Amino acid sequence: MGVSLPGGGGGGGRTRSLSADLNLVPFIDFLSVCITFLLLTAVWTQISAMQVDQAVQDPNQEPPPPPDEPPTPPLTVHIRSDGIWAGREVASGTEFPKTGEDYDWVGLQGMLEGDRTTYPDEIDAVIVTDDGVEYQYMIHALDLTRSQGYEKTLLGGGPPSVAADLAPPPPAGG
Amino acid sequence: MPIKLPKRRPAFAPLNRLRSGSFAGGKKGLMLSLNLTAMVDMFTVIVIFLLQQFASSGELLFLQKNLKLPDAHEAEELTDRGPVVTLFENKVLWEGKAVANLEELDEADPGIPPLIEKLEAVREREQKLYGKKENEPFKSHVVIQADKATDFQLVRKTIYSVNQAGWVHINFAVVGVGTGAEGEEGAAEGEEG
Repeated sequence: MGVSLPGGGGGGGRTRSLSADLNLVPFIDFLSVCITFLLLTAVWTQISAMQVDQAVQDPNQEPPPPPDEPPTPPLTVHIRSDGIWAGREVASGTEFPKTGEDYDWVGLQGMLEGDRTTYPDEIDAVIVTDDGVEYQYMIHALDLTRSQGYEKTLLGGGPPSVAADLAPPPPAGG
Repeated sequence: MPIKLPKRRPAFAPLNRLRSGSFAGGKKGLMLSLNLTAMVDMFTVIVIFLLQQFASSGELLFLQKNLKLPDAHEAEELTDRGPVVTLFENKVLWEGKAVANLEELDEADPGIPPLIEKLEAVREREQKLYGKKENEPFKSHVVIQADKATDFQLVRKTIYSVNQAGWVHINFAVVGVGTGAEGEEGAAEGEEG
């Protein structure tokens, strides 16, 4: 759409159009170069990380004085091939058996929430994974504990075990 | 007004460059003016989309083909580039080159000797480079990039080797997922399971 104004110079009725065609070719060239550069440098998979510090105590620092009261044992999550056990003591822990091929992550999450309410200041967690268990389940357990505020995690593992290995000894005469 | 029979009429104004007249014969011109506006619009949208995707930090890890990292909601952005240990198909790869295989490793040995050697060498080199003392805590990170289906036995041996070589900070490479819809979806899946 052009705009016409009367021509200057007082000549006759000539009008000069002010509309001009924009040369789009260099603009398209520039955009093509931008697209090529951005496509080549694009990062399609954003990799993140979960950091775990395996050092419990700095060797250069003096050891902390012994506490007046016995410390609360850390929360332990034991991932086995047949289920998950979680708790602070063997007698009071909770067993989450595997249902089919899936672990009971919802049950574990509920247990962690309850433990967090009972021990709001405890941020230590130990994740023990048996040999033969897939690595992704350890990461899932680590993710769950982090989401509940257990910021310090210690990882461990060992040969495969079953639920009976962790069961508390039956009471005498029972 | 008398009724007249309809005659042939052009549907649009004649293009001078194409034809001299509406119904005149003549040669068709081979030059057509391309409407560039739509193309420029499309290019602009693509450039904006790619600029939003652009990450100045670049790709810190090179992923092996077919290696699938586990997902995690509580993951943080990987910013430190340390030595990368890859665990894939029961093999231990150091910076992309295989150094050990799970089947060949001694079950009684909790560590992986070739990996310990390499990690110790890197730690000593960095400590010399930055003038650190032997007993100062080493603050660099080692990145463990393992396939989600890796046997934990291999991961355990790797963690032990990393500790034996004097490294304490371990970054497990994962694919970070949001806490919104994905989290609800994951919980729903868990309930179904």
